[in-house]
Amino acid sequence: MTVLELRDVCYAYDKGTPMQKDAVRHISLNIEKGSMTGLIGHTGCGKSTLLRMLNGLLRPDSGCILLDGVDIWEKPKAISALRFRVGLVMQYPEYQLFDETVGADIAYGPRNMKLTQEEISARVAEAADFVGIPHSMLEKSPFELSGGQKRRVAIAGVIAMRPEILVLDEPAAGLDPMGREAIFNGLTAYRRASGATVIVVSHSMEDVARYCDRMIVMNEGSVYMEGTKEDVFSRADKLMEIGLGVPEVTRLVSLLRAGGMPIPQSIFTVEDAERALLPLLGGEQHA
Amino acid sequence: MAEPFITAKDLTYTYSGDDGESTTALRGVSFTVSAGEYIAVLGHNGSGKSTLAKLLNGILTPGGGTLTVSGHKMTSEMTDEEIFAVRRDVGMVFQNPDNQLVATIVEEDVAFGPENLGLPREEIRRRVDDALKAVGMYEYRNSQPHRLSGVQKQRVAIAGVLAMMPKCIIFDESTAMLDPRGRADVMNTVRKLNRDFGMTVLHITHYMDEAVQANRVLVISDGILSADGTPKEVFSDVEALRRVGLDAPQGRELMHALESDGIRFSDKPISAEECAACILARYQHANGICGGKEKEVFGK
Repeated sequence: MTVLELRDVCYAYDKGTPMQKDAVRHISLNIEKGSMTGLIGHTGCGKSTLLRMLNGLLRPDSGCILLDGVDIWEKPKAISALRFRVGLVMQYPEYQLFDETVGADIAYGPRNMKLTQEEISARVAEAADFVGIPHSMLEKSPFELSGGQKRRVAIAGVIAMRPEILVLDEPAAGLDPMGREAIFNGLTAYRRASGATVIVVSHSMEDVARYCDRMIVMNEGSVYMEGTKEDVFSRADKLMEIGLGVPEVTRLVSLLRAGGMPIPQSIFTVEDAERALLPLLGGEQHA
Repeated sequence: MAEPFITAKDLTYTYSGDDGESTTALRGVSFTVSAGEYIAVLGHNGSGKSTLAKLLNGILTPGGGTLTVSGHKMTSEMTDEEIFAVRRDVGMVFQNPDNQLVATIVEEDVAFGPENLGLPREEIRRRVDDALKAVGMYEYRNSQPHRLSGVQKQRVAIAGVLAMMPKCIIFDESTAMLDPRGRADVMNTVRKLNRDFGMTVLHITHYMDEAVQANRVLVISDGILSADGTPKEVFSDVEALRRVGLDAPQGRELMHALESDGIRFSDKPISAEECAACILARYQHANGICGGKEKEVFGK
């Protein structure tokens, strides 16, 4: 079932000036309810502009965005209510933490939704659980936390609004492997528990391969490729044309195929490669 | 044999917080760096690697142990002149270039350091031009920094450090905020500085694909030096990397997983190409196929 539909959406910055930049050009897309989509493309390809349109921070110049079949700009004055339904986590969201305690910061969104104190506390606890922030940390100042923890607190602040659609701009940027894993595990847990739809911008093909089921590849403001990750990663040559690639293990597998090993091409994780290779190398198949 | 450029012996550092709580960032680190080396310093967030960088150019001074940088003993008793001399020899490029660019025009920004050295005008002009050319930003010398992309700003920040003509540059997670193309671009600049200008490079990162490019890798974990060797030596021990919260490249991870399943390989390569060649050779051997083909496909 389609939850979010984009119809011929366009957006330009500095419109009508010599500096005009067409950031998003005629994008049409359908996002399935409950899916986790990886949005990839180079810096400046229009990803962030697209994300900002999804929760109404920017209004398309032309075309429309439908949430559950209703144009999000049907009633422009009601656009702030949309931001509770479509939660946006921007790049480096930890710079936006401002409250005295971690708990108060996570509670900021739910408080704006005019929920009861009881409901707010429940949501703060729940959101902290999803991102793996222990409750003992809720009374601390955000500034006492590590970079990775601050990032997870900022994401919890958006999750606490229980958005139906969670949109994140490079949530794992600059984090070490454990920090990245903690973030993506949190997103997966929230999605499983709530049935929410997740759209995540990432530069890591390995992360997209591991956690997402669908992919959108943008280039110069347009959708360049779209489909399941199997569809997209099976066309490595097309990705390479615009300077993107496939996960390293997928590249390794295609080298093995070229060398004559009968191994399927659609392998995107180390675990899958191990499972496919073991019988071919004369290993036991118990694994 | 010349004196090492950097000598650290049992180096420690502890941050003391306002509330009396203290955090020990380095707990006894010893290593030496020779002039002209290209070293990657790898560690997870909070491992102490940035503290090490700050000690190396005198932003912090050692809590314990000894540290000598470019012939200067780093202590809290150093005079301003001595610290200034160290910083002239050891330049630093940070994660976010917005924190490092100070002027409104690119070439003025790059000239900021040499002007503070009190150099003659012509010398400043020459250094600024050379530095901007070295990072490929000469065409942008009259641009405004805020109009540039993230990677262009980072290149200007590097030029600003280069114009001081230091002996060593420390890159403190200077690629963390860039996209893959921007990272590759900065890494090319880093390699060029080491190879063509003989500059000593310390590249602090948690991207293992960047660390692989260095001649030597130091792994810092919870304030101690947990590994020191060539990329191949350091990345061959997948378990040790995992213990300190780091991943090996996927090819190495795959071969390690297969080894745990009882498959034996003749080598412990790192790159996807070498791993594929090694797995193919094993496959051909296991299935009685005549070897040699991998050499044609993946010949060195």
